[in-house]
Amino acid sequence: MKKLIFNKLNFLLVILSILIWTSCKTDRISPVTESTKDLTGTWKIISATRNGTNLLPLVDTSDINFNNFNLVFSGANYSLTSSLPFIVSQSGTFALDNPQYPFQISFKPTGAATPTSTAFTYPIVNGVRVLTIVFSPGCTQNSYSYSFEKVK
Amino acid sequence: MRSYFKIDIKGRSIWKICALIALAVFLVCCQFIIYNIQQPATANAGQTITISMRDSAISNVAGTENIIVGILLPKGFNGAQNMTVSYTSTIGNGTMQPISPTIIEPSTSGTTHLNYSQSFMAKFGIGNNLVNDMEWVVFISTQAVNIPNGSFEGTVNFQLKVGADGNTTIFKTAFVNCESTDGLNSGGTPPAPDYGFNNGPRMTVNGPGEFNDLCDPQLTSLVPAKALQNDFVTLTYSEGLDTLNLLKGNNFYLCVDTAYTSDGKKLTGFCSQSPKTHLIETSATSNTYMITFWPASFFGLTSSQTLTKMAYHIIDANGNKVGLGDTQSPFIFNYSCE
Repeated sequence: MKKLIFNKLNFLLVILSILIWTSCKTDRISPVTESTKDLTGTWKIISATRNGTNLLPLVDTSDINFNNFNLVFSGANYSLTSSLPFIVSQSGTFALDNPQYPFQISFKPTGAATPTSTAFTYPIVNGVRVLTIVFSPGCTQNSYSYSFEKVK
Repeated sequence: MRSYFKIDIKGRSIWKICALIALAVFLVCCQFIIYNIQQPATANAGQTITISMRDSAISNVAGTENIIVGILLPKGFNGAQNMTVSYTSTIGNGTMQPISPTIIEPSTSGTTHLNYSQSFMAKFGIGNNLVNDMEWVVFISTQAVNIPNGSFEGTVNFQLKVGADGNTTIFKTAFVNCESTDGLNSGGTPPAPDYGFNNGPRMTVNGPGEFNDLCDPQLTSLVPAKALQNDFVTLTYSEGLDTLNLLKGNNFYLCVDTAYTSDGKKLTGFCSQSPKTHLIETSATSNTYMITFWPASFFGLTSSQTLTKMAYHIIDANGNKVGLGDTQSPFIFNYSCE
């Protein structure tokens, strides 16, 4: 009788151990694939600096109008809607160094032999995607930064 | 017992490390004081002048270091190529050579990784000058120097051929002295700079070229000081410096008499009173007015034209003009990156 009770107890312990062991479940998290950065659309300037100084309040808008300067991406092409000191002055084609994790953007104006590349950031600021391009259209020691927001 | 033995060893190591750190805090080499600068007030472009800088220094640890000196000069002097540097001191004499731009100044080695010239500019700027057309020219001793545990003195002599650009230049020098291990760090208790810094006096170098006053407030100034036709250029007019009161009222305009291009053309017709040329007061009662323009657009340049220079005045609503030094001579701005 004692032996039977002992065997039942052992059996219950084994079952309990199996239940406890199987109750531990390992969740495997699958990495989310980074989206390809799609620039398609019309982008307007929301900030412009020269060597860190905000240019927007300095310029006379009757002569130089940042609001008229739009950067339009369509497929592999880009176009400029007006003239400003910028990394390029003519429309053409563009490319990112990496479609998922871009750090450089290159512009190749129509007819140009080689593209011009520059640093490029693409953060989300206050829920809105912002495209920032850094370049030197004049002396290389003068650094300009234009930030664009997509026109809705 | 074994575990206690292990803890005991660890404890000893910790005490040794703490002792070394404490020792390092109190062992400082070196603290420099630049207390006397001798330089001529005037010179002619192409002349070789002597500038001397007297230093005292104190160290509480003996060591072997390279001595480093920096002098703030106009970029147009090309100081690294046109200067020789030597020193005499109570611990020996020696010569110096331009420091390699690839050597990182120690206080920036863990952060911004600046070379000595860049680091001096970041910390001391352009000294008492107003126009950023200056550079820190840095030299290092050709031999390592045995620094004693104690004080020592020295004099650094700069033999400088001034005015390589041929311009008339007015500027103020500045000086830094440090050694290769500490650079611009601070050490000791309480912390004190491991370097010496001092501003030098004003110097005028007369040359046949352009007039280039880098240290006096100007009637007009342009930012960036080095610019091309595709830069945005901000011109500032300080009305308070018009001591002869040549301009009347408070509406002022940029009047470009002539713009010059590299193909020899002289462009005119850019002197008018219009919204395009109107200077805006920076704030009420500031008496400072500015205009920001894009030269390529302002002068209607074609893609094949290169702007080299402009001669300009500031005018009022009645057409009264003010120019260089409160005269009728035009101001000159060269479009160049050099």
